Amino acid sequence: MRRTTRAGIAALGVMAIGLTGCAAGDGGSDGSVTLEFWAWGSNIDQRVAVWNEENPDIQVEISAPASGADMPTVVLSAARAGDGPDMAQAEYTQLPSYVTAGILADLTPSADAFADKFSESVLETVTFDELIFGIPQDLGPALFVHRKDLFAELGLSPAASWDEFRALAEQVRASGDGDRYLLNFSALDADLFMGLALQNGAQWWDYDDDGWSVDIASTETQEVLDFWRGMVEDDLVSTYQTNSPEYVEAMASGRILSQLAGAWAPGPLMSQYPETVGAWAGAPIPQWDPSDPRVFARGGSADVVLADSEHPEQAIEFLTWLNASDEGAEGLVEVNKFTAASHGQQIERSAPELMPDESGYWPTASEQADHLVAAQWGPNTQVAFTAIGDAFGNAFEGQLPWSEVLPEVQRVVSTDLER
Amino acid sequence: MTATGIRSTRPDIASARPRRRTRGGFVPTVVLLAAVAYFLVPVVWVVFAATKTTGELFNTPSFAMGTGFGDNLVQLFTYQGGAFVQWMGNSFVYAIGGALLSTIVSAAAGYALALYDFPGKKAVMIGLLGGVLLPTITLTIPQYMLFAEWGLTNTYWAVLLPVSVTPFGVYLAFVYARASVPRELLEAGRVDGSSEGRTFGAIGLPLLLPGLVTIFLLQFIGIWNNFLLPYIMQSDSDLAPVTVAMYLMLNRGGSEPILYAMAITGALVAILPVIAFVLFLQRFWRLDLVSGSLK
Amino acid sequence: MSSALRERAPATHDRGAGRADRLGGARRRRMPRHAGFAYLLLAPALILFSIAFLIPIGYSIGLSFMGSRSTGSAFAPPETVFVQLDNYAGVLADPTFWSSLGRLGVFAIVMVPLMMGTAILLALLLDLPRVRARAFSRTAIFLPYAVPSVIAALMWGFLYVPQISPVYQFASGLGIELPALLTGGFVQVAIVNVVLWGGIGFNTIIIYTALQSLPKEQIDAARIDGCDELRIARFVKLPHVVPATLLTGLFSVIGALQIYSEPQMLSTLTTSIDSTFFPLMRVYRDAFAHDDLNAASAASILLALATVLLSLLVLGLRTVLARRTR
Repeated sequence: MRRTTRAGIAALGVMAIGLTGCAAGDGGSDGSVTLEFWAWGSNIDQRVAVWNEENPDIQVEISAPASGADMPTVVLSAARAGDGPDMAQAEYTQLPSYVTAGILADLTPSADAFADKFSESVLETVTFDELIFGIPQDLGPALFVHRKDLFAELGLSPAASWDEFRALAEQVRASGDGDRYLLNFSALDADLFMGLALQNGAQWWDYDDDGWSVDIASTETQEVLDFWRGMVEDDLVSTYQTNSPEYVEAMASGRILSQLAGAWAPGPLMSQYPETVGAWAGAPIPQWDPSDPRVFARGGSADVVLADSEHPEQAIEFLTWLNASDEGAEGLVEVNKFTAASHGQQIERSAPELMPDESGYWPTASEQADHLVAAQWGPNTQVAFTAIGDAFGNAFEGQLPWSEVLPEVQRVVSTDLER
Repeated sequence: MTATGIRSTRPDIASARPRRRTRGGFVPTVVLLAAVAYFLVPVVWVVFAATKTTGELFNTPSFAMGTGFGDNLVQLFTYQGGAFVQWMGNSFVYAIGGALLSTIVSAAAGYALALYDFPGKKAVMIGLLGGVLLPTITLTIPQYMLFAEWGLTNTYWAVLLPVSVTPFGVYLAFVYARASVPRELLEAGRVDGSSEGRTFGAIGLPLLLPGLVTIFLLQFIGIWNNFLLPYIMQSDSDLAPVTVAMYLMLNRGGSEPILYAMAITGALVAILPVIAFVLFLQRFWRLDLVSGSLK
Repeated sequence: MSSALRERAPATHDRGAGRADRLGGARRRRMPRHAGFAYLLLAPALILFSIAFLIPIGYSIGLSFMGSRSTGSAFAPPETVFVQLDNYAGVLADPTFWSSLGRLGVFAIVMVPLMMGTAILLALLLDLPRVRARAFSRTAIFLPYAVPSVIAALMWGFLYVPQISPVYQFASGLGIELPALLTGGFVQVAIVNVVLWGGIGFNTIIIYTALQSLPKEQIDAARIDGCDELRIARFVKLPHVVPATLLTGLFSVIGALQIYSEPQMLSTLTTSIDSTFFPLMRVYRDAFAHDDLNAASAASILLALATVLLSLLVLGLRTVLARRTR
């Protein structure tokens, strides 16, 4: 028995050696550097592989410790603990929280290499207090992505205004067995609601010399909320959680006819509903004033360099290549991104695999991108998104009066800001 | 169902008194089998669902075989460059390593508490009891902050250290040692001139073994099923166990497709080893240790 | 200190007690023999316990009295200041804290008795002499214990969708209209079910094991006295498993108060579970979504205190009951 114990302890010792061997090293012995890059976007690993092939001296290790909404948490806590990556993907909505936390490297000194590749409005989204903190990667101008086969069957066409949109939703509800909806409006999609408010002229966050201020319970936002409250209360939209089995079932069986999605929509739709190839089309989103189109973005992200990175120059070199170079932009287009770089948007590209006969899809997206409204996100955007998700969920369930939704969100967000 | 049930059993009661003895197990058996059905339905469902393509998942009957099993497996094992194998491996490292460590630590501490008197014993026992009662989960966040400061996050130790000492494990070892290692044996060892360490290794540990196997198994399953600790500790997905990987697979944000068919196949693959393990080792458990009916 | 003991310990018993006296002097003499070896055995547990429990607890308490205050300008990192009991006051003044506690109370009060009641029933059934398919049933009941709660929630998440769930199809085949569990007030049922599914098996086996330790003669004697199985279960077996039931019941209570993964996983499937549904979800939201570790620490400490108090209550109850059954 004693021998067994010793053997056990010896085994533990061996394990310990193995374990420390597993901790990722930084930098090779031959003078090359290894950069750590946290990014969740699909297919970016393919681009990294191309770079690593061409640049043996600057190797990039990509990993996805969390995705989308959970990412800032992971990056912030790791960076504070001195354990952060060299580079990270950040949604535009998340940038201010990184900037206020002081964990990002200022890229302004190296901006000459990439700044002219982006339009002014795109560059503005990564600029804070006149300093540039990120290199834009992709954009998600919102499009009305819909089932054109079902639209044709029901004799419908996309709506130009929100009033028409409501009428369209009523027509869809009245058709067939009454189990169809024009759209699913999920409490999880807080960014969509924020975009809709932006479209109507709301500006939720602002900063001056005294700090941040927040204005969510504004008239503009209230108008948008009232519109969607009506849609929900009159049962004109479904309210499944996005990507829940219920939702996927409804999408797969054609009971939900459209999405207000970013231009990236065909990719995910293709992987998830391969049976619906050829059934989709994209169109501009509805407007409050069709003569003055305003488009919001869904998703879209930039790449940032962390202040603690030991190799910031190499990191900037890589990110410039990835997002701003000609080769990089082409590569991003190849992996189905809608590039933030202007020249990437000009690249002639074939129709998305999901809608092989829709050659107008990408031109429409580019056109919509020209109407993107400038947005100022706040240092606690994630707090607002969680609060909106909670408030909408409770309003859907009748736990919270609709009139309390915006005041409640405003309260949570401003309390957090003042902390 | 209830109506037909009554009709079919009534005549029996009236006419078949002598058969009562053999029939006594009927109602309990039916109730038991109903419970069994409840416990098995999700597992059977996952077996069938794993064979389906995403489309079939939503438009074919639940208990019909699909056509996508092969594709799902291929997709699962090539997802993110074959990371699934790594995740399963990580789960095994955490579960086996953590359970082993915690069993050794518990055995030593439980043995000491059960068989020796020393100043501070009472304090240790009270601390232990407090530890059993404390919701360990509320410690995870400060643990993370400290481990990050010490440079332990994003190493296997970030998960292994917190699970390597469980007050409950020490408590079980204590109970078992008290019941199965007589103090006289220690005295006898001393008379023979054997050192305390040798007595522990040669006499104590073998007597403790059945209890230790139980602690190991309880810990193994506890760690394998753990989600929050590795989720918070490891930002490097190469170190994620399969539970965290499953969660990340299903929460990729609205702009990414949600790969249910693959995730469900992953769920099946992830539970199979543990089920096999539990079934195989069931006979070695000394659960009377937990039930407190140890004499 | 421990290294000195480690060296001294073998010396003490190898060469007799006299040597120890000579070495130690008056104070040393009161030290029980072999205490050094006991400390040596305890050392790993104590060191790890300090690393994983004591220091984090202390750290957490420290955090709960600190707060970050913005320094005025928009992009300057906030500074950390001592805020006394502000975090505790903030938590206690927040209605979502109390509503999450309320939901947790309802959950625990419904879940624990159901879990223990079902477990006792199933254990008694398994222990009946004439029951069929015993080994198979036992294994099947135990099986969910091996399924991580994240995966259990995923499976049930599908089984809760009426359009695709075999459970709903089966029920409607029998003419029963089951409510959609992921909407409105039924969501607690959905969570309770996932937890029961995962937890009953373990408790059943523990209680069944306790039943097996009941002396056969005692049951036989009751049977000879003319007791039927129901009366044997009620008057012989049930009292015998009370201590085990209370112990596993206590674990179920602690587990219930720590509920996190199941509702977290289900929350992405339903609007009925918000980010402050249960206290630990709220703690997680504070710590991560709100990046406010101070508030999260304060809430954690309040919860831990409440859990310990409640557990002591249950333990006290156990002692009282144990005395009464004796």
